[in-house]
Amino acid sequence: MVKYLTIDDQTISDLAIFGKSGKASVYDLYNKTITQGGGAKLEELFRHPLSDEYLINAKAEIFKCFSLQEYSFPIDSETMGALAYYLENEDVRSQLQIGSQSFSQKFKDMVAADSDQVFVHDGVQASLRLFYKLGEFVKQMESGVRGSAYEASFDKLVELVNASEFAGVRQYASSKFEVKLNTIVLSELDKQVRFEYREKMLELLDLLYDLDVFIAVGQVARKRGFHFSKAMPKDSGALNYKQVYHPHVEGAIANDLYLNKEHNILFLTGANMAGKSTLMKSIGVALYLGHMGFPVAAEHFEFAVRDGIFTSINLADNLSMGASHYYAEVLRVKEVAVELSQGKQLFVIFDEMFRGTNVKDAYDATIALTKAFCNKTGSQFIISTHIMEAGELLQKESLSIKYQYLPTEMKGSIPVYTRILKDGITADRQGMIIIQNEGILEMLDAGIKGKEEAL
Amino acid sequence: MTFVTDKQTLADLNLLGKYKIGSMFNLFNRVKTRGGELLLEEMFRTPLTNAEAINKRGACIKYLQELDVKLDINWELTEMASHYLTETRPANQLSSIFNAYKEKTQEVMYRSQKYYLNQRHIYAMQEVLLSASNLLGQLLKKSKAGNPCKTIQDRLDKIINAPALKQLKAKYPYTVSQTAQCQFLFLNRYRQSLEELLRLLYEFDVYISVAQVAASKGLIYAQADDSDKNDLIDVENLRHPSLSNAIGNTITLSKKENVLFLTGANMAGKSTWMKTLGISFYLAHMGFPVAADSMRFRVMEGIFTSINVPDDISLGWSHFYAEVMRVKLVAKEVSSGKRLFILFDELFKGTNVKDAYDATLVVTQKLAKYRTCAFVISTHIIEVGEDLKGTPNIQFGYMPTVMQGAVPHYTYNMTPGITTDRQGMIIIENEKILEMLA
Repeated sequence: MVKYLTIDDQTISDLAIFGKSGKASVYDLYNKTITQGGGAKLEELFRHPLSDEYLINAKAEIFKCFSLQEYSFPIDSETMGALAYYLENEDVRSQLQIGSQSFSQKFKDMVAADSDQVFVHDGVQASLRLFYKLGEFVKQMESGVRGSAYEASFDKLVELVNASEFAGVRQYASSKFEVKLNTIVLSELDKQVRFEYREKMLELLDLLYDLDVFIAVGQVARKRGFHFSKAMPKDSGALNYKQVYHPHVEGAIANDLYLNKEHNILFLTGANMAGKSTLMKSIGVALYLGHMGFPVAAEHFEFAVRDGIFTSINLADNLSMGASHYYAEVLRVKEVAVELSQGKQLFVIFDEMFRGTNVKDAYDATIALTKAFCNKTGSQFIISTHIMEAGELLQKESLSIKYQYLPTEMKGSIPVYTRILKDGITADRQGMIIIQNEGILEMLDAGIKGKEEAL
Repeated sequence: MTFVTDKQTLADLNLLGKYKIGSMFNLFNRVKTRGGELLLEEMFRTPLTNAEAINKRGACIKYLQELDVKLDINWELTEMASHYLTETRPANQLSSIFNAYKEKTQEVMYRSQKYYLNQRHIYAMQEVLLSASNLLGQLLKKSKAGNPCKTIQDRLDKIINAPALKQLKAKYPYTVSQTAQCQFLFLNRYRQSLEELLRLLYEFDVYISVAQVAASKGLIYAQADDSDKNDLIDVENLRHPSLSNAIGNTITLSKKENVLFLTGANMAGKSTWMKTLGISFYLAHMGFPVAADSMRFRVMEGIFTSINVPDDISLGWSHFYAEVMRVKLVAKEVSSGKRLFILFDELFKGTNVKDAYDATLVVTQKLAKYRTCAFVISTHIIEVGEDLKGTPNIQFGYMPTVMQGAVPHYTYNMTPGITTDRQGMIIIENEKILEMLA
C-alpha cells in the first residue's frame, strides 16, 4: 500500500498550495499542462504527496529526466479534449447505422449531418491525428529516454502506439487535419476505437496525461531553475535546505536551514515585516513539493521523509462557533499533539504562537510547549514568536533548539530588512515605529497642550 | 453643528439598514408610511447635538407612549396623496372646472385614464385627512397637562379644521363639479397646508412607532444635559436593546474618570457591553429611548468605535496597519478639541502581543488626557492595565469568568478591577496537550 503524507486544509491554505480568489498558488506555478486530464492528474499529485522515500525518489528521477530534455507535448489540447469527450460516450446506439439506410436518410445526411454522425466523425478524426502525431513523437523521443527513469512507461507507450489492435487506425492516420473516409470505414474505426479496444485506448490516454504532467513539471524546473530534492529514510530525521526561497516572491532572498535530531526546533524571532512568514512558507512549500518528487525553489534540499506536515500560519478563528482566536490556536496545537503522541514524525510550523492571549499566558504556553516539543526529536518544528523573553529563558537550558532571527536595520526612521537568517534572538519590533511614523502621539500631545494651558 | 461619526461606527453598532437583521433601524421601524420611514432614517443619520432638542423629542415620544395613541393610516394611499401634491397647480377655480370637464370628456371620448386617476388621488387625500383627524381626536381626548407635542398638535388641528376642508362633503365617486372643487382646494388653496400635514403625520408616525417599541421593550428616556459640570455619561442597569434577556451594567464616566479600561476573556461579553454603550449613547442623542433603569449624559459631538474591525486575523500585518490608521483618525478628531465618545475593542489585535502591549499602553495614556471625551478601551492584554493603575482618571472594569469545574461560565456583570482570569493556561491544561506530549 502506498503511504501518503498527512496534510489538511489548514496546511494547504497556509502554504497556498491551491489558490483561492485569484491569488498565486503553488499548483498554478506548476500547472503548465496542455490537457485537462493532465491538469487533473497534477492536482491529484498535489492532493496526495507521498510518504515513502523510494517512491518519491523514483518520481523525482522521472521529472529530472524531463527537465533535462526539451520536449513539448505532441498533441494539441483540442484533439485531446475531443478524444476524451468521444471516449466518454459508451452508448452503442450512437454508432453509425450502415446498410439499412433508406434513401431519404441518405438524402438527409447530405443536407445536414445528424449529431451522432458529427460526433463519430470528430472522434475518429481526433484518433487519427493522435496516432499520427504519436508515431512521430515516439521516434523522436526514443534516443532521449533510453536508459532513463521514464523508460518503462515509454516502452508501454510504444507498445500501445504500435499495438496490432490499432493497425486499422494507423493505416488511415495522417498529418492532415481531416482525412476523407467513407461511412463504412468511419463506422468500422469508430467501433474499434470506442468499443472493441476501448480499454487500450483509455490506457493510452492515461499514459499521455502522465506524459503531459512530466513534460510540464520538467519545463517549469528548467525555466525557473528549480532543483530536485532528495528524500532520505524517515529515521535520519534531518532537513537540509541550501538556498531555499519562496517561488512566488519576486527577487526572493534565499536562506539555508539545517535541522536534525540534535536540533529539531527552530526558534524564530524577528519584526513583523522582516519576512518570518515568507521564510516559513518557503520552507514548508519546499518540503511539501519534495514529498511529491517535484523540483523545488532551492539550490539543494535533502529531507527525511515525514508522516505529515502541519502548519499554523494564517489561523482563522471561528467566531460563529463561539471559539476565540486563542482557542483556535490551542485546538491546532492539540491536533499536532495527538499526531505526535501516536508516534508520527512530523514537520510543524507555528507562526506567532498564542497571539490571541495576554503576554503572560503566551509566554508560559510558548515555553511549556516548546520544551515538550524538544522531546519529539524525530519531528521538526519551526516556532516563531515575539516573546523573546521565552527564548531567553529556553536558552539557559541546553535544549535541542536552534535560535535564529531575521534582522531589521534602521536607516533613520525607516526600517530595512535583509531577510537573511542570523543566529540568536532579536527584540526587533515594528509596531511602535509605524505608530510613531504616523505621528499619532505627537498629534495627541499637540492637541492637549492648548487645553492644559487653558485650564 | 453636526454629530460626527463614520461608516465603521455605524456598522460596528449595527445602527442603519432596513434589510439588515438586528439593526437598530429595524428595531424601531414600525412606521406606517413611506415618509415616516424616510424621516426615521434621517433621524438615524443625523443625531441631535442640542440638549433642548434631544429632551424635547424624548418628551414627545414619551408623551405619546403614555397616551397610547394609534395612527391608523394606509401606506399606499398616503404615498398616493403625497404624489398628488406634486401635480401642477390649477391657476384658479375656473381653470380647475374647465380641466375637470375636459378630462371627463377625454375619458368618454377615448378612454383617457387621467380623470379616473384624479378621482383616486382625491380619494387618497381625503383618507389621509380622515386618518389625521382620527389621530387628532385621540390626542385631544386623552390630552394630559404639560403636553410637549402641543406645537405640532396645534398645527395639525389648524390644518384639518380649515373651514373649506372641514365642510368638504364630497364622497367617492365624485361628480365632475366635486372633482373640480377638490382639485382647486387640494392643489391650489391648501397645497402648502397639506404638504405640512403630511410632514406632521410622518413625524407622528415615527414618534408613535418608537413609542410602541419603547412600551413593548420597557425602554426609558435618557436625560440630556448641556452643562460641563455634570458627568459625561451616567447609566444604571444599561442593557442591549435587541437582546431579550440581556444583563444590565452600571457605569459613570465623568471628567474625573473619563476612561473605562475593560478586560476579560474573549467570550465574557466585552464586545457586547461596549456595543451596548455605543448604541445607547447614539440613540440617546437622537432623543430615542434606551434599555436602562436610568441614563443621563452630557451632549457630545460625535462617536467613534472600533469594535468589529473584522476579526480577520489572516490579514495580519495589513490589519494592524488598518487599525493604526483608524486610531490616527480618532486621534485627529480628539485633538481637534471635539467632545467625543470613543470605544476601542481589542485594540491592535492584528499584531503580536508585545507590539499590542506597547501601543495600547501609550495610546491609552495619551487619550486619557482629554478629559472632555469619554473612552472605553478593552484588551485581553491585562498587563497594560497594571501599568495604567497609576493614572487617576482611569477606571478599571472586567467581565468575569467563573470556572465551574473545567467549564468556563460568564456572568456578564462588569466588576471593578482587572481580570485575573488566566484562561490561557487553563485551556491548555483542559485540552491535556502537555500530557499528550510527555
